[in-house]
Amino acid sequence: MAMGGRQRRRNMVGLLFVSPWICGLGLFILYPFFASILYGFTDYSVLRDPEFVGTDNYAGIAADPIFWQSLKVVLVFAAFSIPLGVVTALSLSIMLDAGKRGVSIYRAIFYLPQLVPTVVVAILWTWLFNAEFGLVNHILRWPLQTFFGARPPGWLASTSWALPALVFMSMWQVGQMTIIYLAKIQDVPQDLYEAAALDGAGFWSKTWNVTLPQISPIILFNVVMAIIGCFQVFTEPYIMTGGGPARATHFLSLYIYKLAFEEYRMGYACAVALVLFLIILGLTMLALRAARGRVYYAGEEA
Amino acid sequence: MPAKKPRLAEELRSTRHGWLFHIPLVLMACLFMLPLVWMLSISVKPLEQTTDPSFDPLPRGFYVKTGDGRLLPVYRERRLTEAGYLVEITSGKSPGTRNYVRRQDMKGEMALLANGQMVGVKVVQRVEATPENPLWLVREWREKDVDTKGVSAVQGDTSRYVAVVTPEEITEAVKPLWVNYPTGLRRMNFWGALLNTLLVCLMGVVGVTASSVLVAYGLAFIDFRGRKALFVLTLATMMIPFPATMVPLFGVFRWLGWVGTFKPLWVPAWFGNAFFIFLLRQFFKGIPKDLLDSARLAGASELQILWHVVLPLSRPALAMVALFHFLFCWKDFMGPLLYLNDKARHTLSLALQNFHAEQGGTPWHLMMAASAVFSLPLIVLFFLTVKTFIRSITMTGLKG
Repeated sequence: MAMGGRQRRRNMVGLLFVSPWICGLGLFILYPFFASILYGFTDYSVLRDPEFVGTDNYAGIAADPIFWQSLKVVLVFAAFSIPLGVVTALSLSIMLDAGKRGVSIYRAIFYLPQLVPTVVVAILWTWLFNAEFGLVNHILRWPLQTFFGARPPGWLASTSWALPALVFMSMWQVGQMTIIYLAKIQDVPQDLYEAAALDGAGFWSKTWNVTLPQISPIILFNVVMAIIGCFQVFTEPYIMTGGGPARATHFLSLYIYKLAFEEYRMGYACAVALVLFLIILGLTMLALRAARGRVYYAGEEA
Repeated sequence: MPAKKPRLAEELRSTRHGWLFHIPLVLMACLFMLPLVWMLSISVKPLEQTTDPSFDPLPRGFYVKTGDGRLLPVYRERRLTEAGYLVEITSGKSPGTRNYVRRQDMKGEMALLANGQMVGVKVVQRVEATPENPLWLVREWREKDVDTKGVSAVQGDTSRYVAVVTPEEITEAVKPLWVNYPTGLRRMNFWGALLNTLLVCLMGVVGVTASSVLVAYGLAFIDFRGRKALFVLTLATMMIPFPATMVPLFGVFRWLGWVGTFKPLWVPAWFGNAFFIFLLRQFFKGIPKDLLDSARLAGASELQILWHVVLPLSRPALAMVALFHFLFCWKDFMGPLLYLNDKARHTLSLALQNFHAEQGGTPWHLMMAASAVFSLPLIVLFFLTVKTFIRSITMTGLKG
C-alpha cells in the first residue's frame, strides 16, 4: 500500500512536470494536426463554416496541375540540394579534419551564412542572381563567353534556371552540417585509423573505409531532417520569385500558404498539407529502409 | 605487401601533406564570404554604382572643380560619345534644368529628350564628344540623393550644378557612403521592428527554456506512468511539418483573439518544444543518477533537485536551447507573416521584406545597409559565444 502511494505521488509529480508540454502538445500540435485532417474533407474558408464534402478535395488534388507542378518542384529541389549539400559538407569537414590548422577560422567562415536571417539571404541572392548587374553573372560572363560562346542565364527570371539558382543558393547554407560532421569525424577512435594505416591504407582508403562508415548514422539523420526541411521551404521562393516564373519555383508549402491565406480555400489547403505529410512520411521510411545495413552503429544502444 | 610502418613516420606524412587541403579550403572560404563582402560593398555605395557594369568593389566619390574653384561632389550621369549640346530646358515639366541633347535631336528651338519628350530649349554649350574622346555629363550630388528612388528623380531640381566635362576634369576618390546606413534603417523602420523582434525573442527564449527544462526533467528522472508513451509521442511530432498544422493553428489563435498580436509568436514557446525537450532529456540522461538519489534521500524535492543539482550541471544544454531559440526567432519570417499585419508590429524580417516589396527592388544600397545591420547581432553573438555556439551545434547532432 505504501509502495502504491509512493507511485501515485510520483505519477502526480511527473505529470505536473510535463503538464506544460501535454497542454502545448495538445493545443498547438495534436489538435491542429487532427483538425487539419478533418478540414481536409470539408469546404472551408474564413467566411463560411466548414461543410463536409467527402473526398472531393482529394479528387481535386489528383486533377490539380498546380499541385503536381509544386510537388515536382520540391522533389527536384530535394533530389539535387540534399545530395549536393551532403557532399559539400562532407568534403569540407574531411578537408578541415585533414588540414588540421585554422579549423576555428574556417568553421566560423563556413557557418557565417547560416547566421544571416533568411529574408536577408533571399534579398541578397535576388541581387546576386540579377541577370544584368548580379555578381554571379559577372563572374560567369567571361568564362562562358570565352569557352562556350554562351551568355549567362537569367537565373530567377528564367523558367529553366530559377530552380537551379535556388539549389545553388542552398549550398551556401551547409555550415551547420559541416560543423556536426567535423565533430563526429574528430570523435572517430584514433586506433581505427592507426589500424588502417598499418594495413597500408592511404588518405582516400581511410576516408572511405573508416571515416564514412563511422559517421554514417549522423549523415542519415541529416538526410532525414533535410527531406522534412525541403517540404517546408517557403521564405526564399516567397520573397525571391513568388513561385514564378511560370511556377518554376512553386514549392509545395508556398502553394499551401497561398491556398489557405490568399485564396482562403482552407479545406483544400489542409488536404494538400496532409498529402505533403504522407509524402514526407513515405520518403523518410524509404530513406531509413535504404540505409538499413549501410549505416554503421558502433554497438551503441540506448 | 604493405610493410608495417612506424607510427611516427605516418604522423609526419600526414602533417607534411596537410597543407594541400588548404588550397581548396581557402578557395571555398572565399566563395562563402563573397556574398557577404558584396553586401557590405553595396551598402556603402551610391545608388548609381549598384548598377555599375564595371563591378568595382570599392565605393567611389567623384568631384569636379567648378568655375569658382569649389570641389563639388557629382555623379556621372551619362558618358557622351556623340556631338550635341548642353541645353537649358525652357518648357515642359522641368523648365530651368539642364540636359544633354544629341545634335540630330535638336529641331531649332525644340529638342527631343532621351525620354521621348519634345521640349523648348536654349543652347548653353556645344559638346564635341566622339567615341575616341568621350565626355561626361555630370550633375551635382547631394547627400539627400541617398534617399531618392532613382537618379532621375532629382532632375527637376534647378538649383543643381550641371556640366559637361572631360574625364580628366573628374577627380575620383574612394568614399564609403556611411549615410546609407541611417537612411536605410529609417526607410526600413528598423528601430520599431527591432523592439518588436527583441520582445518576441526574449519572451520566447525565457519561456521555451523554462518549460523545456521542466518537461525534460520529468521525462528523464521521474518514473511516472505514461512516460515512455509521452516521449515517443514527442519524437513522433517532430516529423509533423508546419504546413500540416498551419491552418487550424491559425484558427486557434483567431479564436483566442490573438491574430495581429505578438502572442502567437511567443506564447507557444512557454509550453515547450519537442526538439529541445528531446535534446535536454538526452543531456540529463548523462547526469549520474547517484547524485539525484542522494539528494532525494536527503529529503530534497524534485524542484529543488532540478534547481540545485541538475541545472548547474546543464549549463551547456541550457545555452544551446536559448541560443537556438533566439536564432530561430530572430530569423523567423513565416510566423510574423501569418500573424502580424499591422506595420507598427512588424518584426525585422517582416519590415525588411516589406521594404523590399514596396520599393520594387530599386534602392539596393539602402536595402543592403539595412540587411547588414539586421544580420550583425547574430554574427556578434556568434563570435562572443563561439565556444558555446559550436558546442551547441554539435549537440544538435547528438546521437544520430
